[in-house]
Parts: sequence; structure tokens; C-alpha cells
Amino acid sequence: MLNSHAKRGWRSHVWADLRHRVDEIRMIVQDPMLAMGLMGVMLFVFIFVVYPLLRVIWQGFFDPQTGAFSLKYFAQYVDPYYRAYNWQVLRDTIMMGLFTAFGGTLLGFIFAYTFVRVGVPFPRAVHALALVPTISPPFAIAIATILLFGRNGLVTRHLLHIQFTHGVNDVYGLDGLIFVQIITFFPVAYLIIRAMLERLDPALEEAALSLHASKFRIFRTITLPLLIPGLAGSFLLLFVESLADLGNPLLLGGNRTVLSTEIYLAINGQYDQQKGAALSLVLLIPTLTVFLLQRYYVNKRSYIAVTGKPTGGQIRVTDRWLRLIFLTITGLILLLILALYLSIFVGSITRLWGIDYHLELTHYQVAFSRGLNAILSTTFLSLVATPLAGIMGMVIAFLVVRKAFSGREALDFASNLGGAVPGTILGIGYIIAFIKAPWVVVMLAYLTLAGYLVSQIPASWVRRGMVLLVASVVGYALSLLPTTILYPDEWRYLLAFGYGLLALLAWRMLSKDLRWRVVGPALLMALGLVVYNITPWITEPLAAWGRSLDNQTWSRVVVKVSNMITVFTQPTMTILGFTYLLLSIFMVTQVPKRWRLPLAAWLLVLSASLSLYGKPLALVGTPYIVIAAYAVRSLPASVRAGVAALQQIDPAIEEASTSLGADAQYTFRHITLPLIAPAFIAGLIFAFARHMTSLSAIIFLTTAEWPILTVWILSEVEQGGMSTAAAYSMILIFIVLAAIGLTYLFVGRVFATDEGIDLTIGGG
Amino acid sequence: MKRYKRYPIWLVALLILSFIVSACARSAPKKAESKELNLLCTPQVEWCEGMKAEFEKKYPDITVNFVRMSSGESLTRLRNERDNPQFDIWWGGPVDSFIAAKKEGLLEAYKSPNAKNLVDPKLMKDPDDYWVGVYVGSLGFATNKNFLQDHPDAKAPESWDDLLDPVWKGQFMMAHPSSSGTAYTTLCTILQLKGEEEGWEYLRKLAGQVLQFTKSGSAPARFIGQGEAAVGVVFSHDIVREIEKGAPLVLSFPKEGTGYEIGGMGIIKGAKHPDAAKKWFDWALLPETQELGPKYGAYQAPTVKGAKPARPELLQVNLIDYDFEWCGEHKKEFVDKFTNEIAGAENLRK
Repeated sequence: MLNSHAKRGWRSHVWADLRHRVDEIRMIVQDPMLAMGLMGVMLFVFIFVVYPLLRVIWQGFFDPQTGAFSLKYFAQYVDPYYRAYNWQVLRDTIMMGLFTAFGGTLLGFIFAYTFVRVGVPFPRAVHALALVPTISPPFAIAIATILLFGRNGLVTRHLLHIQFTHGVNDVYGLDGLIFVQIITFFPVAYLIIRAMLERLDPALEEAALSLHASKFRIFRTITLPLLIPGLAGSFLLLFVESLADLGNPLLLGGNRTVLSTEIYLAINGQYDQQKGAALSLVLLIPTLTVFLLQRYYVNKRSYIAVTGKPTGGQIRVTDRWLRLIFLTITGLILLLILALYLSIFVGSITRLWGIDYHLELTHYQVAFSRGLNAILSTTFLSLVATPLAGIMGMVIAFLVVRKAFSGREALDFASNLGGAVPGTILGIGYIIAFIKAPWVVVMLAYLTLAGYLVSQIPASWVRRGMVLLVASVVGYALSLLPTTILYPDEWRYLLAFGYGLLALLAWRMLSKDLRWRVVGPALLMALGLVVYNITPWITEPLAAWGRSLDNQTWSRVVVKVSNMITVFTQPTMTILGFTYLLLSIFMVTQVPKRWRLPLAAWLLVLSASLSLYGKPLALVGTPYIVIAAYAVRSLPASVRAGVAALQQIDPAIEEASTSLGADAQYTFRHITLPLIAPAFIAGLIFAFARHMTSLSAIIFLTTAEWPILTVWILSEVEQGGMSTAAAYSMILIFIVLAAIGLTYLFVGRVFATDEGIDLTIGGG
Repeated sequence: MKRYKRYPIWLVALLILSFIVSACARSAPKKAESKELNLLCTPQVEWCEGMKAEFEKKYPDITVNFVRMSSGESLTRLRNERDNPQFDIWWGGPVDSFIAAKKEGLLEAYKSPNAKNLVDPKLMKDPDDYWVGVYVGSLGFATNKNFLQDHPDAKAPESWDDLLDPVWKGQFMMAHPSSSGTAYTTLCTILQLKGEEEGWEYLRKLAGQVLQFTKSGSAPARFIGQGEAAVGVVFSHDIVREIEKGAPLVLSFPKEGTGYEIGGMGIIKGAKHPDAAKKWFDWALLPETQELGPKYGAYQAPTVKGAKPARPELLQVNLIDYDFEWCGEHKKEFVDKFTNEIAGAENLRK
């Protein structure tokens, strides 16, 4: 009796909880703009983060040729024949991660402490210099280190006259690799710890001081414990970045391989997808553990004393010796960074490093002729991905901070995951997931969007389901036309005609104030299809003209521009179809209830035909997959920038707007957006820099038509062309710096602010 | 107000007009000639770039896009893209990769009218026309001149066993056979020359001399020229290129015989621009095309009659009777063995 009562109570509790959750979703879904935003980002994150990662995990257990379940590569960790080598790799990987994390955190702490407590001359310039490693290509420091300290390096061979015979320790190997990783990643630690130090309330330390505690005791018992979350956080982050790094281990590993290079070689050397996927899983375990630790342990353990705005002045270190030590270390490291970057520059204008130190510009000539396509493609794709990542980041941040709904945590988690997992794993996932049409994902995305569309029809669920089914089948049948009786061009004209007809009918039937809300989007969609068809009329003559130019450089630029136009005007049919579905949802919600059924059905047929045409989302080889990979890698930073900015705005302002009758989108556009714009733009620059310098996720996706600069640098270095690689690196750094400079100028002008940029997530 | 009302009618009219115009324009079904060619290129990037420019000069309507990848990478790429190929033609790289690609059904057969130019069709062409040879090159030893000056007891190696001289300990460089066709040719040459058992024993000893296994096959020549290492096994044409550029290198050959490669070429199955790929295929088998190499630092010998080799001496050495079929068949097995027993084993290097 008692038992059954308790059971019923438990059950009703679950029901109440479920109903509550459904109500929350319903609240959001009632606002079509909000619902579209939510569906858009959720689908993007699912398609481009969750699904590829699941496919990698899956692939690790199955033989790609036969499809049979096998634990072959996991068994190698116990198989005596392979065991020694596999464990060696794993040991080296963990060692590299630990040492880099320890060294980087220590260096970051010294830098931060020097900045905040000791004080440096020219703080802005020094700060900027310390951050240069984060915006340069992932192996710039490795190239510089080889140039300076390699077996034929300027310092080692020509200044110190070291003869490298057997047994002499050279720069290749774990030690050199750790050195380079520390220099590359310590700025991240510096930023985290500095932020923490600056927000420390000096009152505690002053109190201790007035109680006559010794300086060291204060540091040991007060400052350090308060800094623990920051130190732990940066340690974990550096550990993950080091494990995920691909460029440096490839260049400097010597005969030591670590997991990331092993994965790369498994895929690109031994052509073994299962091995690559299985090793990815091994690498995923420590990185995911750290990611979870970071997210649910360290972040929750931030003490109250270190949150909020800076309080009062900072305590300054007055002890002369201490000051000297900190300043000397900081100064020396800065000199080292300066020397490294200088050597990249000098290396890029030296005829033959190590043999002939004459200065000349031939390497830049080579870079601008041979690599022009790569330079233009990389910059273009990075630019296109930037607003995508920025806008999605803001939408996610808005939903996460301002809206309460189940799945919020999952959305936040998944959007962060794409930047946190090693890029190699994501890259492999993309290859596996998008080489053929991933019908599961396509259907899921299609049904989500189409389901929401029919849910706007005022009818029973059964009738809605019928509409969905019939319209989808008719649409799919239409999508088969181009393979049978029509040419794809004609089929697109047919669909465009469908949208045109709809515009015409809507114009005749709808009342004056509603017309434009349907006619406008319909004409837009028709126009999109027509533009698709007539694009070759513009791009082909343009490319032909470009090819006829005598000047090689301009000729390449013009041909490339004609390629770039098609990226916008000729997207894959599925991307176009999903976009049209979103627009259709908007249209349907705008018309009176009696028109909704025919309108929804008509629109569904047309967009189903587009969405399901051909091989939907078989994206490998297209520029869109590179754009998606870029956006996924920089998404966490955009989300964080948005969250930080939104948390500083009092929700009361938005609530005031809502209570005055504005809907969610009006409030977002007119109240929230202007307030977070500076953070948004800062996030954009950061995203752009990340895109330009990312290598590990992209290396599997580059094609002949859209070559990527970082991959070219790697290829040059592998063939021993250090100077050309240095020239490419300089060009890349210059492009990123130019973008940052321009944006700062713009942001400074328009918003008159000085927002800091969050540079702390998502490794190359 | 009235103007506002008429506006969309005009737009619709415009739209319909554009249908009609474009429908008329599309009078014949379009099977236009390809304007692009996506080239998978395995030799050094300089030569790829040069060939691209020369081809575009000959066919100004076609833009060549290329990616340079090592032969191992290329094969993986083609395998991955089997259902949705991004490349049209694969040019260069040892033919054992092409043999493997043919077996896996990644290539498209093409009987080029210019294949009759081949010097030795039996050796240089697939019997079913899936690939042809486009260049030939032999393996040689590269030694740093400055190192020889500093070490009077060292002399440029003249046999495979000379590489085991203690003077080269930690100074020897070769590529890793998992990513490099050059290194696999070396490996297979040694196994053919010495027999399997003795060959592996020799490789174990050789690994004790190694400074580093590079990814790219030609990289050792570059690194040895720069003084990063003292001696290495590289294709002789790559050594000649570095010497021409001013690197202090000495080229020598093993007297007991050396291996050689035939660089292959094949059209990718399901290529999006098959017509352009065939143009490249025919063009690459012309004598005047094959004489272009030296202009771009490629000193490989040509495979067609009428083309003069720039460096005939590179092939006038003791060449072994290299068995491409045997090497191609055992590739996975040998590379796996090499990775596990030799390259990864630290104890060999003590």
C-alpha cells in the first residue's frame, strides 16, 4: 500500500518533470524566430560535431573493408609483438603533455605575476608580443627553432660550433618538442592566470600583511591557494593542447612519434582508417577526461574572491631581488620569442639557410606564384567561416544564458566539444561521415525542420503527419527528375517557377499588409535558383578572361575570384534546401491560419525536392566542409565571448523591453545585440585567426581546388624547404595581424571600447 | 502607394522572362569541355608547378589545380574518395602504388595513342592500360662534402655495407617507407639484393645508424645538403637537383646494384573531368613534354622514344632486376614489419 503510493508519487513526479520540460520547449518554440535559431544551431552542432565524432568511435571497432567487428588495434596494446611500440608511443604522448603543461603553466604564471605584481615597462607592447605565438601558424616556432638550434642552426652550428655526432643531443626528439610546445602554448596560461591575479581581492593579503605574516607565508597560504583554480585550469588546458598538437610533433619529433602523429600516419601513410579511428579513441580518452574535469570541477571551484570586477589597487612586489628575478626571466623569454620570430623573417629572405646567407626575395616570389591559390583560398574560406561561427556563437550564448530549457547544457557542451577534441579526430570524422551521403543525418535534419513546419498547420497531428508524408514523397519524386528526364538546370528552373507561381498566387489572395511576408521570401527563393543557373554565364567568361591575362598573378587571382563567386551562388542543393526550409517556416507562421495548409504543403514539396536531391551532404571535396570545420573549431571561443558579454548585461533591460510589448527577436536585435556588439566583433577576429592557423582538422579535407596554406607550409617543411615555409608563415602572420589591426581600428572607432579577446580555447 | 503595388509584378515578369531567355540559351544539352583539371601530383612541388604552367600554356582553356602528396598519402586519399573522387589524374610516384590502386579499382583504363612512344612497353605500361610510366630514376647515396672534409677517415659509400661504417652512426638519413615511395623502393631493393632474411638483418643494423626517418622521400637530400645529416639514400635525380642548386653533396652508387623506380600516371575512376585528364595523359607521353623536367629541377630519365635524358649517367649504373609486382604485393606486410620491428625500436639505435 505504502509502496504503491510511493511508486505513484514517483511516477507523477516524473510526469510533472516531463511536462515541465515540454512546456519549457513549447515556450521557446512559440516564438518562430527563437525556434528557428534553436533548430539551426542544434542541427549544425549535431551534424558537424556530434555525428562525426560518433562515426570515429564506431569506426574504431569495425573493419572498413569487411564491416566485421574487430578489436584489432586495441588488442595491440596487449599483443606482445606490438605492445612495446604502442606503449612507447602512449608514454611519450603523456610525458609530452605533462611536461608541456607544467612548463607552460609555470612560465605563464611568471609572466602573469610579473605583469600584475612586478610591473613591466611598455606593458601593451610586451603583452602583444607575448600573444604573438597564439596567432601564428602552429609550427612557426618549430621552424624557427630548427633554423636557430637545429643541427645546422645559426646558433648551434655557427655561433657555438657544435658538431653533431652520434649521441650529441639535438633539437629533434621529445625535449626539443616540449621546448617548442611550451613557447607556443604558454600565452594561454598567461592569459588565464593573469585574469585571475587581477581579480584577486588584495584585502586578504593586506590583512595578512598587517598581521605581520612573512611575504613568503602570505604567498604560500593565501595567494597560491586562491590561484589554484587558475593554475589547475591552465595546466589541464595546456595538457590537452599539447596532446592535440600535430604540426610540432611532425616537424620536431625526430624518431619519437606521439599519438597525434601516429593517427596522421595511420591515415595518410598506412591507409588504415580503422587504425586511425582506434588510436583517435585512445587519444580521446585523456582529452575528454581533462575536458570534463575542467568543465565540472575546476570551473565550479573558482572562489568567490576571484569573481567580479577588479577591486581597488594591486599589491606591488617591492623586494628588489624578487623583482630582478621575475623581470629577468620575463625579459629573456621575450627576447627568445623575438629572436625566434626574427629568425623566421630572416630565414624567409635568406638564399639557402646554413650554406649561403645572402639575402634575397626569391622565396616570396615562389610563395606568391606557387602558393597564391593557397593564400587566397585560405583567407577566403576563413573569412566566410568567421561570421558563421560568430553568429552561431552568439545565438548559442543567448540561448544558454537567457533561456531555460532542457538540452541547454547538452547544447553548450556539444558546441564546446568541437574545439576541445584534437583536430585530427574531427578531421577523420569528417572524412568518414561526409564522403558518402549521411542519410541518417539528412533525414533527421529534414524531419526536424519539416516537422516544425507542419506543426504550424492548424489541424490534428494525424493530418499534419499526412501532409508531411505526402509532400515529402512528392518532393523526393521531383528530386529524381534530374536523373531521368530533365537536366539539373531545367529542374531548377521548374522549382524556381514553383516558387514564382506561389509569389503570384500569394499576391492575388493575401491581404495587403501580409503580402510581402510571403511574396518577398518566395521571390527570393526563386531568384536564388535562377542565380544558380545563370552563374556560369558570369563566372565562365570571367575565368576565361583571367586565363588569357599575361600577368600570371592577376590571371590566378581572377580565376580564383570566379571560383569564389560559385561558393555563394552555387551551394550544394541540400544546403540550399535546408535554408529554404527555414525560410518556409518563417513564411508559414506569417499567414492566417486558413492559408497555412496549402502554403506549407506547397513549400514542403519544393524544399524537400531540393534537400533530398542527389547525394545530400556528401561534402568531402567541397569548400563547405572546410568552412564547417573552421567554424566548429572556433565556435567555443565565440560562445564564450557571447556568454561573458551577456552575463554582464542585466536581464532587467531585456525584460523591460519585453514587458513593453517587444517580441524576442525585436528585443534581441534592438537591445541585446548593440550591447554585446564589441564582444561579438572581438570574437570574430579571434575566430578568423583560429581559422587561418588551424591545421590538424583541415589536413584531411584540403583539395586541389581549395588548397590550405598551413598544409602547404607543412608540405614545404617536409621536403626540406625551410625558407619557403618561413615565407609562407610570414605571409600568414601578416594576414592575421592585418585583420586584427583593421578590426581594432574599426571597433575602436565605432564602439570606443577596448575589449579583451578570449584566446583560451581551441588548439591548432 | 500605386508604384509600390506594381513593383512585384515587374519582378515576376522579369523572372519569367529570364526563364524564357535561359531556356532558349540552353538549346543543346551541355556536355561542354572541362575547364579544369584536378591533378594529384607526387613528385616535388617545383616540377608539379612547372608541368601545370606548361600544360596551361598548351591548353589555355584549362586551369590545372594540383595538390602535392607523397605516394602513400595519395593512395589513401583516392581510397577515401572512392565514391566521390576529387582528382582527375594522378601523375608521378612509383608504380607499385599504381599497381595497388589498379587492384583496388581506383583507376580508369585509358589507351593513349601516344603509348606507342614508350621505350619498353612491357616494363613501362600496365598490360590492361591502367597506368603508364612517365619517368625512370635510380637510387643513389648522397654524402655531405663538408662532412667528408672534416672527417678524413670517411669516404662516400660505394656499397650498401659501407653505410654500416661506424663513422656514419647517427648521421644516416632515409625516409619512412610508410609514407614514402622512395624509402619503400630502398627497402624492397635491399630485400631483393640480400634475400629476405639477410635483408631484414641488414635493415636492423642500418636502423642503428639512422638519425631520423623523414616523411618525404626526397627530404634527406635537402637535409644532408644543409648539414643536418651526413649521408642518406635518395633517388639520384633528387641528389642531382640539390647539387645543381648549390648544395655541397657527392653522389655515389652501390656497386653491387641499386634499385630503381618507374614513375607512373593514371586516370582516376569516376573523374569529373575525364576529357581534360585524357589530354594531360596524352600530353605527358610526348617526347617534348618529358624533356621539360630539367627546367624544373627534375633529372629523371624519360620513358618515351625521342626524348633525350638530361643525365644519362644516372641509369648507366648497376641496376638490379627490380620486381615491381612482388614489391607491390608485399607492401603492407613489409611496411608493417618495418614500423614495428625497426623504426620504432629504440634499442637498435643505442
